[in-house]
Amino acid sequence: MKRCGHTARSARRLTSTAWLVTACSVLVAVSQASACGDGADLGPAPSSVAASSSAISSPATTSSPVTLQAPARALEAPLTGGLVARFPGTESIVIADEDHRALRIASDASTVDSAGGFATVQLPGPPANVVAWNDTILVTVRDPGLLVKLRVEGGSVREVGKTPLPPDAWGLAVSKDGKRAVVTSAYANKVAAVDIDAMTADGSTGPVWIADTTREPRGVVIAADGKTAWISHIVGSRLTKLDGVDTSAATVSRVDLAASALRAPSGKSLSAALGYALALSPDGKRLFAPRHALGAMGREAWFGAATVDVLRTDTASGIAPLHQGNALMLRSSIAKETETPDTLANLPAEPLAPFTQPRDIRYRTTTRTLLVAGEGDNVVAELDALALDPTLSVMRTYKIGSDVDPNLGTARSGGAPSGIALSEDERFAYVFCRSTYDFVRIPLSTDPLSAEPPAPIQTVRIDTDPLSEDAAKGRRLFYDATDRITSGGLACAGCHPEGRDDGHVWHEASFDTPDGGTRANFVGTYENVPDLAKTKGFPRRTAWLVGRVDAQGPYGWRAESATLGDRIQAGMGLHRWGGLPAHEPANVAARSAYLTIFLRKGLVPPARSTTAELGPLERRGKEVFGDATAACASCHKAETSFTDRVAHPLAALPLVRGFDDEPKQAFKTPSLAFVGNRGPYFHDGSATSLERLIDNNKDRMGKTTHLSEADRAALVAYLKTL
Amino acid sequence: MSTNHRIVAIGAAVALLAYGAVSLGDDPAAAPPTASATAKPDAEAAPLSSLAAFDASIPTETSPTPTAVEWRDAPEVAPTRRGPRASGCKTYRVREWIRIACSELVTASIATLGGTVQGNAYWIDPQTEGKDAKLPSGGEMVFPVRKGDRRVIQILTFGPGYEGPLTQLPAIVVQEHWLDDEESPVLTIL
Ligand code: HEC
Ligand code: HEC
Repeated sequence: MKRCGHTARSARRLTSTAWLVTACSVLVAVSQASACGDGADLGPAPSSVAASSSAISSPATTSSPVTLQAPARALEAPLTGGLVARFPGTESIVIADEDHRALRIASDASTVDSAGGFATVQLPGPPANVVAWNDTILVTVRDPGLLVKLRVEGGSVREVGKTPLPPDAWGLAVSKDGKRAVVTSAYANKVAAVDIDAMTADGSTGPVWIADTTREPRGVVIAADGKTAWISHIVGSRLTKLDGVDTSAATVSRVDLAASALRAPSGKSLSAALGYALALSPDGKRLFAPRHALGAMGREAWFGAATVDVLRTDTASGIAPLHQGNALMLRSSIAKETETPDTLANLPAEPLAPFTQPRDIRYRTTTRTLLVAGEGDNVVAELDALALDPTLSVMRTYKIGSDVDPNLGTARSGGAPSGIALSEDERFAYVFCRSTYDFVRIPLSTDPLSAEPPAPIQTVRIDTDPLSEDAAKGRRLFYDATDRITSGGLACAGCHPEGRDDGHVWHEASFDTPDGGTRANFVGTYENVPDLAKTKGFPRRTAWLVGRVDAQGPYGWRAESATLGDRIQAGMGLHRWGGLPAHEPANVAARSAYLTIFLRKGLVPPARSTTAELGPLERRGKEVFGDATAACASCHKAETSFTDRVAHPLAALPLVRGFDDEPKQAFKTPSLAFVGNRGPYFHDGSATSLERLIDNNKDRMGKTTHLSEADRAALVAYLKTL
Repeated sequence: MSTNHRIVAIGAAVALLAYGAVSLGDDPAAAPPTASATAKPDAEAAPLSSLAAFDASIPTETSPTPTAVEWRDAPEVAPTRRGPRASGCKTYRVREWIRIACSELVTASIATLGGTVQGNAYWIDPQTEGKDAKLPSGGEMVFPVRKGDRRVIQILTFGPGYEGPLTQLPAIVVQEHWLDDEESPVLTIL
């Protein structure tokens, strides 16, 4: 609620801008309105803040009209949501600005050149994805889970409908007839369909159907026939396919799509993370899935590689062939003479990261190319959409990060591009940058392969960071993969997306690198470790951070770091190939100090179900958890976020294939906050679900062998509420 | 342009040819395309817009590897896309067979990254020996374009890098596919 004051201030600043194109029509949720008061401490309240008691269902007031260039016309294609949406047929855009809990609307993105050109619409919670057409805006709200329908009418924006959804509503797509929306709920692992015409102002109509998916469903696209939808996940390489989207109960299936097939270790299929977005080709035959391929091979490929995997939709199969270690190859005699074990002639030699941490993707029809936003390296890359592996056919790279902080190495302008929309004629890309709150307009070349240099980009700062200057520095570091002190090419957000986790078990392996010395580094698969090192590494499942970083310490699976700052500094050594570049110790300390502030103040815990009351099953589970025989609470102490922060020498788990056996088997009791939806569990990821974890526990942790089946189920049900 | 080309292939259909070359194909007796070509091709390939599309009336029947004479008379054709790095690479077609010749490119290696290898053959011009020894310049590949195919082939060049002045660096990636849901094949040389 602290943000209210800020928001009101920024709204006031906008309205006072002299040549304001569009104004701030503001919707304020009841809770927010009361927390913000009437803005007395801010001087005269901006006329645009409507602190109405039934605010989200009442018309918003505006001080000057919100204008759209909106010719009403039928949709020509389904709409795919993102952080930036353009109203088809116009250059009007709307941006979902999650950190300010607001929408930003510009009536003409092709010319807007100052913050004043954006109208701000406050929302009842943080928005994730948005779509827009004619006079309608649909936006997902994460907390509470909602789909909100807004209408731009007579110069104002007002809410005309909403549908309650499972918490953490995120991805959004709309069918070509404009009647059905499909929405993913990220933390709830669910997907739902909403009948758009039936949405009511009081939110009394629920979704048409709700279906279960696996972890972290995010991007969603609907096929032109409105029957099939595809969903990407930020955990795992599989996609979810929905059939019967237009009916009253869709069927859900899982689709295998190997990540970065050509970079996979021979005969292996890689997992993936960061599947935030999807794009379909206009003919619907190809589905493009940008993500991070965990363990992809290449030179110094400790973290894997960025990829866009292409799926053939009729057969639901990937089109890239899998890498075969012994395929046909011809080497010149000099090549044979000069080769070293580091030469990887039959693996792609192209850079591992034509972009880092893919965040959004758009298909550019006129050039048959793909535009991908790289959150980590502040680029928009243009790739060949005709290729089997588009990341091996990069056609152009638009660099949008600038004004690099001389001390921290992060971009202070154009940082963390996270949403893309194309102009109607596809000559411009409109981009929103998440860590600097910039709108960036990129002039695109009509021939992406031409030698002509790219025209200069234009950047408009829409707002300042809602947090303190120090936290803002931490935020920029959190997303940034370019600063070589913080990491060797992958940001915190690359493994801890939104402060959550990638579901991956990293290999903590010690090996020699050319920069001298043996160091422990994290690698994606053991095949990333040089053969000579003869090690596979110890298993380290990525830690979930958000909501679990308030304690003083210790941190790390081994409880080896006394404080949060120590653990962040230790990570800077681990997340790379080899050692840190030359630096002053103060450089490392400053980075970890800013990151500590951001981790504690800036990460937002996932929305959860609003029913606070435990049911009978969960209450029974709570009893079991707390009783002296099961003894769960003796280590997972409720009062300290379900952990005692002590490393306990539990009986060793069976060795997981692909890892080395660890001599010391003592691990820190992990916090159980948010444990429900974020398997796999244990430091080695060996327990795939809470049910299996409890069934296989025997008496390794506390005691469970004495529990009846019903009590085990109750215990699991309770764990899922934490 | 002698019989000195080195061709290496791995797989079941490996056959040694008279001039010390190996290829993996339907018809391993075929000669390397440039062996009897009259002149070295021009350094710059023609602009794509001036060329016929590589897939114009491409036959769907399987035919044997073209002979050297056939390659000599083959017209240059336009791939679907050609990037700036491949501006010196020319594409020729005989029946369903494609030949990509990058005559000026210092070629360290040519490798199949994935996909179909049936019919693929690669050549690297030999380096000159002796006191004016030069790096091998000129890489070529031949493969058939057939329905159901998909292949990704990489040419590496030499340049200064992590392994010293003769580091193998990316030069060109060829991607070809004709999946059975595609009306026509796609060939990109980037
Ligand atoms: C390559 C993936 C990766 C990257 C990049 C990464 N982390 Fe982690 N992080 C992990 C893994 C795996 C663990 C668990 C390892 C352990 O504790 O031994 C972890 C653990 C942590 C912990 C300890 C949590 C706890 O409860 O003990 C913190 C804090 C943390 N990371 C913060 C960060 C920050 C801040 C950054 C960016 C500077 C970052 N991480 C970058 C993978 C990553
Ligand atoms: C002796 C202290 C101790 C007791 C008692 C204990 N735990 Fe644990 N718990 C741990 C440790 C240590 C780990 C991590 C083990 C590992 O990763 O190998 C863990 C891990 C877990 C996890 C996985 C969390 C994650 O993020 O991977 C769950 C769930 C869990 N415990 C539940 C329980 C329940 C339920 C009980 C009671 C039956 C219980 N624990 C009793 C110490 C304890």
